Amino acid sequence: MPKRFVSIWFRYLLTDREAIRQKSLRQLPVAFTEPDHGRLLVTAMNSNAEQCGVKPGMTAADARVIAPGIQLFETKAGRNIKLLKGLAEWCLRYTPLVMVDAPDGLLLDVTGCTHLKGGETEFLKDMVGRLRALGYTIRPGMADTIGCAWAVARCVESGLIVPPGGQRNALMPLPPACLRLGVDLLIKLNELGFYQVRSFIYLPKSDLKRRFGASIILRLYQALGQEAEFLLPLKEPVPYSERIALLEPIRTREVIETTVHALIDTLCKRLYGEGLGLRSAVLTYLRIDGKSGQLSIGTNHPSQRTDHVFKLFALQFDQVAPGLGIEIFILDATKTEPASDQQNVLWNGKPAADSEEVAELLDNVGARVGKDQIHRYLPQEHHWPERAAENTTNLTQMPECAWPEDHIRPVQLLEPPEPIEAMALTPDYAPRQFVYRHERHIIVNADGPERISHEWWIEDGGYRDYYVAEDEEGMRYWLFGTPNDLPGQTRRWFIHGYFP
Amino acid sequence: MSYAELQVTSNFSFRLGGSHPEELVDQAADLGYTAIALTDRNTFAGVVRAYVVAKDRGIKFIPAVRLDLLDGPSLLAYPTDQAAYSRLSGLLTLGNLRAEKEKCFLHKQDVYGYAEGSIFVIIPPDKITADFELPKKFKAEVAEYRANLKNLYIAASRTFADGDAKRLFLLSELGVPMVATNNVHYHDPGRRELQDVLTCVRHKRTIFNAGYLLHQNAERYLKEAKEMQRLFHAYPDAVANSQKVAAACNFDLKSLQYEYPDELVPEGMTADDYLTEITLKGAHEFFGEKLAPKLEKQLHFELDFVRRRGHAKYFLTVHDYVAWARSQNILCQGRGSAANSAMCYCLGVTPVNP
Repeated sequence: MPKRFVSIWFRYLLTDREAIRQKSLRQLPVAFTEPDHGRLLVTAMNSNAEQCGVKPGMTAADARVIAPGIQLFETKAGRNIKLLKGLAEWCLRYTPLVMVDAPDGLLLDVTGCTHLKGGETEFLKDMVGRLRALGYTIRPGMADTIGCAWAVARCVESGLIVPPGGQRNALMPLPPACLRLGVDLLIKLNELGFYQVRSFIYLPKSDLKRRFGASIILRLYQALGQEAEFLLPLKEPVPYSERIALLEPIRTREVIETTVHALIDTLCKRLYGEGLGLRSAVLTYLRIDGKSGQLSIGTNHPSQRTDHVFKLFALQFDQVAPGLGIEIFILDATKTEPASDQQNVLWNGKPAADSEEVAELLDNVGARVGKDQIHRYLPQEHHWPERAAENTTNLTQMPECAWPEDHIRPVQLLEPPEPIEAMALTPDYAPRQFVYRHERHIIVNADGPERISHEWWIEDGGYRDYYVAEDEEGMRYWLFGTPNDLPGQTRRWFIHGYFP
Repeated sequence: MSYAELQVTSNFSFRLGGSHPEELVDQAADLGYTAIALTDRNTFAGVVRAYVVAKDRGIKFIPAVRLDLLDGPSLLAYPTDQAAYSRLSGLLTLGNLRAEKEKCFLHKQDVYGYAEGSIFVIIPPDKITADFELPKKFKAEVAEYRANLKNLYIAASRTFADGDAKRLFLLSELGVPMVATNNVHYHDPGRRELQDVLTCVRHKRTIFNAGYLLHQNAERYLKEAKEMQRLFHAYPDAVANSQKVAAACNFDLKSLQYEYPDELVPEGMTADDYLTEITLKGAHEFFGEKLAPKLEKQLHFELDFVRRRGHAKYFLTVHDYVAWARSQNILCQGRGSAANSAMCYCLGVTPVNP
């Protein structure tokens, strides 16, 4: 299938944006300026200013003279890219492959997308209509190659759809500027009388190259489709993505829920068919006013179950602001993992430690308290307490060794250990009392010390003397003191965990 | 303040100890210990080196051994006299002959047969069970040792592991007197790294995956006597007992001398008498019935010298070789450097007449 590209030229990008903000500016000449050697030079202007003769590179003072009442704004670096990115995201409703074409355009790969709107003409009309409705002055071009679409958008008065294979004919009458060449080269071509592409398109390649350099060949052949050119999409398209475009914008929660459920169902069925399960997904909704929003979820276990995934999203539906109405939902499976057959069996009946039920419970809890609040620890063979357990999010990972049963350790360690104020009267004895978070604890019972030395092959350091201490209220703590057997060392105390 | 360390593992326990016996003894002398024992795994191999330094530094040294048994908790064995020492040596030989090199297979029953005259110390398990008890099996084995071994103690160590206090308490309840030891693996805490590496080599692991095979701290070194007393302040008997054991071991390596087999000497005679007899018999054969006074004087001088040096049995052995070789018509040269001796000529050990 031949590729089809759309290039959109935002002729007055910055000023249009400003005019969308302040409607009054539409009737006035507007220009953007930037300081240069103490002067203000015009960098961009709207059509009103252009009609008065304002040109880029003109000083602000001159512009004020030619166009009385001109509104001048300061140019912010990168503003155009930011705007284009926003517009590119908006364009995702037409195709997943959109690229920002700096400084003032967008490129869309619309291969296989146009029939959704009833053909290329309708497709372009719909897009142009909507963008114009938003307040932008644009010119689109559609062709088989990026270069040709660009040329048509920039240099044909009202934009054009170049029929498949018609690049050469379309380029013939256009000026060399349509080939995305450098300014110097354009001047040179102009001086030599090459006013149209047709004047040099048939010249031998070698002559052209000798006179004008390699870039002209490259650009020409790219536009003709004889040289490859690629589009770097704004967003990496995800392989598992489903979308629903609604005929009428929706606003009520019930309808949103029904739509999202149907969307998830489609995706889950597709994943099931390929033996995959969902680990994380992003639901994007596009509103008719051009704004969008996202919800994201993650699961502990590759899941293919519509109800489960829907439940996770449903917890966040309160955050959805439909505004005037949502017209498109896009569901991207950002991470998928193979879901083995065994799991299918598991959720049919037998509960196990890493079963679906457990995973779903964790997902539900995680969606409420935050996924990073849930930990799974696996034992590691290390004496040093911080290294004795590994934190994992994977439910199926098997421990490499057994939990040591002869060590008394808190279920969870404080990370990092918190300093406490304590004083031990006799060496090798636990402190009599300690102050932790402004609260005084009198120790009535204690066991220890358990001396654990630093693992010298990982890092240098001394040892810690650990005590299990019980206070008057029966609470048990895991405390440790730093070494104090060298002269000048004072023992510092920390709390490292609680016992049940 | 006095203390004797009774559980010391040197580098003669292959890939276990991190220090030489010399270093250990030296350090013990520096710390003012009354005595130090060396208890390597199933071997006495390190005792001579330790003994040399101990004699030099004037510290009492107890050659001892740790018996790792196939069917029971390990025992430390301290011979109190030479006979006990030779019994223990016999026990080790028995074990070594049963196994291939580097291994020693011993059973509880073997120990009971060689136990006379030695003091034994039971090595308890490092950890108590999750129910805060000593393992049942260990208790049964202690009871068995008590029934079979006379001088029995149990080793109490504080290596700063968790549950140390509870463990010591349980050991004190067993009814076997405790001895304080520090289960020494190196003379200085700085050797922990070397000892860890040895552990890795022993288990064919790298330091990163050796995990719980390594000791969790560097406490198994020779500590000051004062520190040991402080650690065992709740059990003063334990420290006293280790002194008691040390005091009871009166076997000195110096008393060990080579025991020459005396099968060549006829019943009822000493080796010297027999040597004199056959020398004179030979002299009469060579020089006739009447011996010249000069020769007689020379012979008596030589025999006296041999008697003082205690070498009579050796000369008898050489004489036996030569006599047998002659009888078989084998050409033999009895002895080189002893040729300038009338006695050897008379014995036929050398054919050169001085």
